[in-house]
Formats: sequence, C-alpha cells, structure tokens
Amino acid sequence: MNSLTRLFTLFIALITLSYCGTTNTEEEVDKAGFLKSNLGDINSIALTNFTIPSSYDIEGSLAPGAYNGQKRRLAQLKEIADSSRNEPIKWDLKAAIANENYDMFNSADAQGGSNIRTKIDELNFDAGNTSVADDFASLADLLVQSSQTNYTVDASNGTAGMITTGSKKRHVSANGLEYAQILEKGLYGAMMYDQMVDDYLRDSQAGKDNELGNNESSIDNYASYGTSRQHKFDEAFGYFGANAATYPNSGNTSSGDGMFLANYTFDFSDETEAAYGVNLAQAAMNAFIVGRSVLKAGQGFGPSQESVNEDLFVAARADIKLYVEAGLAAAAMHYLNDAIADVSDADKIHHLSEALAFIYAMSFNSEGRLTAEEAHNALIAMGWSSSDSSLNGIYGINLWTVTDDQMTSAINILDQSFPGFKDANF
Amino acid sequence: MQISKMIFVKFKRFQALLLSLLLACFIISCDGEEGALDLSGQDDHTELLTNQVNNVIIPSISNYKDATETLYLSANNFCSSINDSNLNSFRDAYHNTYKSFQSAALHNYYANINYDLVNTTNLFPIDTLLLKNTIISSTYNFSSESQKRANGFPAIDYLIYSSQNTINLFTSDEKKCSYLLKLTESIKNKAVQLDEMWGGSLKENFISNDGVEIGSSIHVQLNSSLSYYEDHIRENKVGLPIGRIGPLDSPIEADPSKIEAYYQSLYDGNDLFALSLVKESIQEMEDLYLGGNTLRNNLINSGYDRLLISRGHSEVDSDIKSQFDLIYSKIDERTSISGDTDLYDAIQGLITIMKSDLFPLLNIQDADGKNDGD
Repeated sequence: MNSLTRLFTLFIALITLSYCGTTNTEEEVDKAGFLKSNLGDINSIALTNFTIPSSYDIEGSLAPGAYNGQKRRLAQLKEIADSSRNEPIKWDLKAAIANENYDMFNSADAQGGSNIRTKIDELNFDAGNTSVADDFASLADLLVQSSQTNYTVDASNGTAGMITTGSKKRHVSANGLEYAQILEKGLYGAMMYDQMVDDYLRDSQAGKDNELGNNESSIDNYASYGTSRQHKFDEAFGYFGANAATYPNSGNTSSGDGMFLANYTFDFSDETEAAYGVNLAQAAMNAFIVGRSVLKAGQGFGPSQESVNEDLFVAARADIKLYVEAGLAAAAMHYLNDAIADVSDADKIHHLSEALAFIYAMSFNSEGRLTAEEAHNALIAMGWSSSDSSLNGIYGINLWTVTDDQMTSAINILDQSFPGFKDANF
Repeated sequence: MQISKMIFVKFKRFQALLLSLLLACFIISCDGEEGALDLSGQDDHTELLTNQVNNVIIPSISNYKDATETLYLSANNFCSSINDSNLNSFRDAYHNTYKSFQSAALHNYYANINYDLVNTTNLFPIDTLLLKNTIISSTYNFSSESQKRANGFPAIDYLIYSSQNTINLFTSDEKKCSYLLKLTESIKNKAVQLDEMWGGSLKENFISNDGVEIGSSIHVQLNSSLSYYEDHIRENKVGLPIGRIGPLDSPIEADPSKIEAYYQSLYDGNDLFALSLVKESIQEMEDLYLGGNTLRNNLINSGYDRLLISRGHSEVDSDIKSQFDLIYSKIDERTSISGDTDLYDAIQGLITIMKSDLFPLLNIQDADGKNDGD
C-alpha cells in the first residue's frame, strides 16, 4: 500500500469511528427519554477554582455544612415506623409526630428540639392551614386505636385486624387499609419530598432569590452551616436520606446506604438503568453533588463577590426533582404491579396500601411531572374520593375489592407522566 | 480706555483669579492634610471600612489580646507564689482585661462570632456549683456548651472576689490554680487567634465587602453591634438586674445578682467596677459610630457620623452624640446598677434613634429576625 492509500484508509477509519461514537451518544440520549439529565455530560462540567468531589463531601471540600434537623426528623420517622409494626401499639404516635415536650424518642439520633408535625406541608402549616398535619395526626390515632382493639383478630373484608404477608403480621382496617404504610410513605411526600422540592430548593431558599445569598458575611453561623443558600440546599439533601459519603453504595443491595426516599430511589435504579440507561440513585446524587459544588465554587465573602453559575445550579436542581420524583413513581408502579400479580388478598392489600401512599406522596410537588390533579386521578381510579384529594379521601376505598383493571388504570395514568415506566419491570 | 490701562485691569483680574485659585488649592490642601474623608461619592465606602478596621476593630482586638497575655502571665506569677502582692497584680490585670474585652466583644461578627467569643468568655451569672464541680474534676473544656456557665471572666470574678480570704482559698486547694491557669490560657489563646484573623485575610475581606445590602460589611457591622448592644449591654448588663427587658415598659422581676462582676460588687460594697464595664462597652459603641474619632472633631478618622453629616443629617448626628453623653452622665451619677430605670432608658434611647433614623438614612435594613433557621 502506498502512503497515499494508507492515509486515505486512515482518514476513512477515523470518519467511521467518530460517526460510530456520535451514534452511540445519540442513542444513549434517545434511550434516556424523559430521564435525560439537564446537566448533560457530568464529566465535562468544570467549575472555576473548584474540583467537584465524587461524594457529597460535606465534611471535606464542601464544608462547612450541616443538616442536623433533617437527620433528627428522619430518625424520628424511623422510630415511629418501627414502632407502628408492634401489635398492639402502646405508643402515642400522634404525640410522637409532634414530639411533645421534646422527649418522645428513645434513640439519641431522634432526640432534640425538632418535630415532624410542623414540617408537614410546612408552607401551608406556617400560614395557619394545618389540615394535612392534622390528617396525619388522625391517621396515627386511628392506627393506635385500631391496633389496640383488634390485634388478636384475623382481618377479612369488613373486619379490622391482622393479615400475614410472608413472615410478617400487619395491621389493617376493616377496609384493608394498612395504616402504617400510609403513615410512613405518606410522610415521605407530605414532609420530606414537600420540604425538599417545594420548600428548600425554591428560589427564595437554595436559589438565586435567597435574601441572605451565597456569602459568608450575611449570617452569624457560617462556620457551622455554610452560606444561607448552601444550608438550604443541605437541608434539601438531608431530607433525601442518603449517606453523604457512600450513597449509592452498590455493595449494600438492600438500601444503597440510603433511607426512605433515597432507599426507594436506589431500589429501582437497576431497572431504570436497563430501560433508560439512567441509574436513578447515581443521577440524583450527581445532581446533589454538582448543585452543592456550584454553590461552593460561587460563594464570596460578601454579596458583591458571589459568582454562582445559576444555569448549572438550575439544571442540577431540575435533575434532583426529576430523579427523586421518578423514584417515587417507580415505587408506585412497582407496588401496583405487585398487587396485580399477587395471589393472596393479604399480599394485595399490603402492596396496594404502599402504592396508594406513594401516589399520594407524589402530590406534594407543585412543579412535578405528575401534577397533584393527575395524582388524584390515579387514586380516584382505585376508589379514592373524587371530591376529596386530602388524606381523608382514602377511607372510602375498600382495598379488598379493588380490581386489577382499576390498578391498571392507575398505572396508565402514571405512565403518561413517566413514559415507559409501565414496561420497565419495576 | 487706554491700552495700558486695559492691560492693567486685565492683569488685576488675572491676579485676583490666580489668588482665588491659590486660596482654593490651599483650602483643599489643608483639608486633605487633615485627612477628611471624601464622602460625597456615597456608593464607595472603602475609606470608611478601612478606617473602621484599622482604627476601631483591630485596635480593640489587639488591646484585648495584649491584656490577655498579661493576664495569663500574671496568673502564672500568682500561682507560682500565692501572696497578696501577686493577687493584687492579678486583680489589676483582670480589671484591665475585662475592660478591654468590652471593646472587643462589641464587634460580635465575623471571626468573633464564629469563635463564639462572647458566649465562651462572659456569660453571667456564673453557675457556682458547676464551677466547683469543674474545678474538682479537673476536666475542662472551655469551648463546650456544658461549661459555658463555668467559664470566662465571671469565673475569675468568683474565684478572686467571693471570699474575704482569697489567698487561703487558693493555698488550700491547688486545683483552683490549675483551673485558673487553664482558663486564662484559654482566654489568651482565643484572643491571639482572633487578633491573627483580623490582621489577616479577614481585614481585606472586610474592606472589600462594600455596599449596604444584607451581608455587606456596613450592614453586618451596624446590625451585629447593635444586636450585641441590645442583648448584652441593655438587657444583660442593666435590664435583668433592674427588672426590664425589651424596648417597651415591660417590667419583670428584678434580680440584682445578675450583674456583671457580681462577686466584686459584693466584695467592694458597690457596683462601680460593673458600671465601669458598662461604660467601656458604651464607649466602644461610640467609637464605632465616630470611626475612632473620639475627639468628635470634623477632620480626621471620621465614621458613620460623617456619613450622616455629608448627607445633610447633622441633627440626627447631634441627637446620637447627645444620647451617648446622656448615657455617660447616667453611669457617672450612680454607684449601683440597681435602682431607677434612668440608665436603662438612656441606653434604650440610643437604639431607638439608630433604628428609626440612622439605619433608614444609611439605607441599612434592620436584620432583626433574619437569622438562618433550621
């Protein structure tokens, strides 16, 4: 081969290679569909004078920062959820949610001057509308009262008592509603998800309109909490429930080192990776890391020295909302699929209770892919009150009699907001 | 007019113009030599901030640091040889340090608040039982929340004034000296650390953080010092002992034991030292307002007063200066913190003027309730 021919061959080979590369990238983007990241290629993001860490390095390069109140509330919810599996329940769960006298909890992590109640649907709560928090208080009371009355009774359609799923006994109402699931997973939405997406991530908190900004100077406690915007962002991260240093830990197959929202986001990441090429847990964590890094890189001593890359921040925030919401949607889909596939009524009403709670939880996002109205429609398909989208609307459902068709209708409604999820094998 | 006359007249006019120009230059140059601030360009406060950090903040911190070093040395001398002479020297060093602390503490922002200067050095009243137990256990953590009522100057006050026989108190229990040495060392170390920080990058950051928006140095300095003034001077030093809190007439139960340097007051039979501490803290507030120009002349080292005057608000400046004078007169005319509310009212009066006049005129937002929450 003469040199001209060799050069020509090399040129053709290069063209072919680069063409193939482009095709792969485009395929990946196409495959991602609605789960496509707003951040683009995470590896190509570079910040001025700051190296993005590989974890949410709150004790290292992202320091100072803290989210103690969020850790405490998650520990409180864990203690409440664990206790709600006792039969009979002897603890006053309503008082525990309010952490009355600030002495309701046993674990050191849960003790302190924080409570769950005032953080339920907080923006409305603070404005004087405590109805959502009151609904959860009533639910907690119903659970405790029903448990104490019926813990020796075998449940059946019309009779409150115990069902058995696998090796676990669970308490359900006469309508087959597993109160404990609604309480725990409902609070994922009404407290954690709501606090994260509708409160701390909004413009006036972690965003560009925060009055105290992204500087050391405007707050007294910078050394403990970082700038005001950083602290709000950390608080949003705190409600996610991920271990800052290790999540998503693939070595821990049960939770990925995440609890509650982070746990469920992790649980369906393999499926989304297979179907969309997007690992939900990793993508959510990437967005938290990039968002916090953008704030760290752009902080100044005073307000005039701030230089936050707002476009990148907004993209990271959009990713957080997208992937956490997708995790909730995947969980709802998963439990609906399970309930349809279940052979026993006990399994069905257990899984259906979880699905109802997850869909209800998703309504606490004013800018979600699934609107509150659409979430309500999915719930209505399974018997939820059409005139009452509040938690009270659940009590009219008889879970024993909800049909596969009804659940399939709910799946189809969800799939319109999360195209392809019904076929993603959750 | 003859040409020669015209030339003469023109020359005269030129001469007059030249003279005027020279006179103007002389006036400007005199003004310049005296160092008056040019505050006509009100968007740039670099000069004001430079003056604040060089002539108000750093001298306060630096004086305090020097005093704490003497205090620590004096404590070592006393504990090496416990006698009346060394006790008197230590008491003098303590008085001097406690007074200089009043100035440093007023600047309760940036490094000072990050290192929790006030809460680790001057929370009173002391918890005597906690202090005794801390001394007995010989386990100290002067940065901890749990020991904050067994810490700082109130602890020293208790150790050297609670007994009529202080010498015996120390010779009979060597743990008291162990505690005293560690405490004074801790106070000194923190002061040295703060002095280094203010002299380092914080100084440049303070100066370059211009503007009046939330987080600007002016906003932080005025709001934080006024907040200290409200909580620690009005309330803690005067209000709680006489039974007053807040700006309104809302009496609470008076507790004369809640004064600064309480045990010395018992020892001396009067509150003169406690009153001198109040005066020191007020003087630092005035120093901040005047930019270190305690002579109150219009020429050098001007501060917020010049900012007001340059904007045509001399009457507010006069009101503020008169209020400081009133506070001093109320301090000087008493020997006890307790008693009538005149001193409290005079101290409150300054807050009223600052919040209703100074802050709005300088476009400073009152930061009450703006703290970051959980």
